[in-house]
Amino acid sequence: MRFSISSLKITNFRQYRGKHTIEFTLDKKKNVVIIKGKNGSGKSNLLNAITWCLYDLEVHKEGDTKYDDGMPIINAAELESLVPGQMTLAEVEIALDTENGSWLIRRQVEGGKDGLGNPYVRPKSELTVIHTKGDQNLVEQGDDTQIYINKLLPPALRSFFLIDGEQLREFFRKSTPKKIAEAIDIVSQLALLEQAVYHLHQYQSRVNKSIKDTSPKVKAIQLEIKSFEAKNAETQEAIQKGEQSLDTMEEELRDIQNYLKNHNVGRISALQGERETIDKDISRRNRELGDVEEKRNRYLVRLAPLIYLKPTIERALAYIEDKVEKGELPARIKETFVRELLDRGVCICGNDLEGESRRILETYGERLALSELSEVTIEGRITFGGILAEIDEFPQRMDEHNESIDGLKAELERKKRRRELIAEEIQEHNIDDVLRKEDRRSTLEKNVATKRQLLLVAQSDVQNFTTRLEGKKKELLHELSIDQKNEELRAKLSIAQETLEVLVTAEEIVRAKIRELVETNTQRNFFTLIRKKGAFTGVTIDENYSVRVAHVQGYNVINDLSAGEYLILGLSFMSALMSISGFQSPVIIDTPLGKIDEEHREYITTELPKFLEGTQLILLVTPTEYDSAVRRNLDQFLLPENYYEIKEDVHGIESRVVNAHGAKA
Amino acid sequence: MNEEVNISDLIMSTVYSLCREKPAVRKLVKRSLNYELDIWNRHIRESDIASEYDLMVVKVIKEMSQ
Repeated sequence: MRFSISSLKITNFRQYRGKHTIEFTLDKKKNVVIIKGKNGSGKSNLLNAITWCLYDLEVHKEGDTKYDDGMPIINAAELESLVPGQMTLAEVEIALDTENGSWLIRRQVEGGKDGLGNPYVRPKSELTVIHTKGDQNLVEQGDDTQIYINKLLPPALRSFFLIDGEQLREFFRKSTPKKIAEAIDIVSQLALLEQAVYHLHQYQSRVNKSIKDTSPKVKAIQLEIKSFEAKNAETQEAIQKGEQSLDTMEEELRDIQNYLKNHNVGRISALQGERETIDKDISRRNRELGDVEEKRNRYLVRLAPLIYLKPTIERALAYIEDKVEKGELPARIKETFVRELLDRGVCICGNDLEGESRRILETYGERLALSELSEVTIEGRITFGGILAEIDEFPQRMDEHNESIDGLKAELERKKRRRELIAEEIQEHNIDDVLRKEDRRSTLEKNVATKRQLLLVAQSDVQNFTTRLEGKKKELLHELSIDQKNEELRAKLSIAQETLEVLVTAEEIVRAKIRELVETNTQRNFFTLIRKKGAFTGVTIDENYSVRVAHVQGYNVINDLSAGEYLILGLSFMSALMSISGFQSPVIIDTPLGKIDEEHREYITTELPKFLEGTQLILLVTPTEYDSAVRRNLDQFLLPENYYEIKEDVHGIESRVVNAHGAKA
Repeated sequence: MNEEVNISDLIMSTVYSLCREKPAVRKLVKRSLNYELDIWNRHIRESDIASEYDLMVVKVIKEMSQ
């Protein structure tokens, strides 16, 4: 029966204190409902409210749990506000629009404070279903009420419609062929056939036991049948336990393999090697930087006083240039030569140097002494020129020094950042942990292989026992036919046996057909929803329920898909199962786009509502998921009145759902 | 969305194709599956189920002998 949710009323449920109503306007094409809320604001508890109302259970990340631990199902503040002896309740009411009229499903649980003021919640909830039959409204209450809901949407199919986005993304990353087979079995509705087979076996055993006054041969066959049945049951029980243990081991092995894919000794060794090289580089570059900085500083120390004295040096140089220009510099006669003449007291012409001539020579000597000073300065003329040229070059030389220093510093920064990243990664890759996990992987691989062999042997034993059991049953029928008094029993056993054979064969055929259908539909859905259509060539589910996603280059990439591709594969498989199940329920997805890259978000939000046209699609999204591109895409499938936001109080303890019609921007 | 598949039809057509020549088996299959559908999700005692199966078998045998 096809149905949609027309309203959800929640009262004192989890963080929703008081009464909250969410009305959904139904539209075949505009089939999307958005409920936006931050992480922890109560999105998942809206999904929980629905599963609790329908099935008395809440879906948490770790799986399905009852509400007997942690926070009470009745709003904690509401419970706290009660006086001793006062009662309250948590209630969720879902109104459905079905092909056969309206339904109302209500679940309540009572709680309160006892006489001592201790809060309590009753362990049992009460379910009421009101549905229409003809013109009548029928009210169902009591133990069998759950059957009405189970007929609407069997609990086994619940997880295909009421979906946790994260679990869906993880489905194909973690699923074993057994889980895939179980999922297909659930929708195959083969449980009815299986139950009929089981009950016919039980019936056969009872008829066998009722055979009395038989011949010794019949007795012997009966004993053999009993023995084979016991052995069969025992071996099947061992197989079941073995399969459970194999599942656990395979799950652990898969987790370890996923971990070791990114955390392995080879990778760590490479990182450690890189870190050692970087450490050496950093040390070398640090030395180089020190040298270059020292060189620049020495240069600066040498040039700084000259730069400070630049105007003075320029003035001195100009003065010298002027003297040279005037011909006063350099001096023609040395002062020491004049001094020698004065000391000797005789001129070079032979006359004595006395009186006026001596006085003139002495004055001339003094002037020459001054000239020689200037001559020294004339030598400095060249030096001053050099100094001034060096000062002129200063900005360029400093730029060169600084560029060289900046380059070395930038390289050092890069190397240090890389070293930090390596350190972080190495820290994540705890080498001891990796080695432990590698040991564990090796042990698990051996154990899994052994367990599989043992299971194969046990399965072969069961087949053998079953063949011999069937033979004995036929033998018994033959023996019974000899004695007329057992004719009735023989006839009963005979028809039961034939029916059993038909049912078992039909089960195998139908199972194989459904697997093929799921495979075909999953592949078709995958190629409808996937963005990179050319990257893949097919999705297959083989007779052992192993899923293969074929890459265009021929590889099976089931273990190497991105988060977005896993989500699409999960959605494709779920949709295939949904359509095969024949049940038409709304699809509610909590956090559908978490961890999904932008391109896949774009594609999923464009394609999924079209793909589920006619099916109500309720998306519980975070503000990060519901970005402008997603909003733009979903707007075409969203009636404005179907847009809600979850608002928290200032303490983030209580939440309320408000219709944010018009507040989308 | 994929085309819907009627699994009940698939199961019944498969079962019938396996017992075309066996009308008694066909009758018992049909009745047992209807009964299983009827008691689905209900808590019925094993002895009551066995009695019901006995009634079904006896009825089919009787009908076939007539």
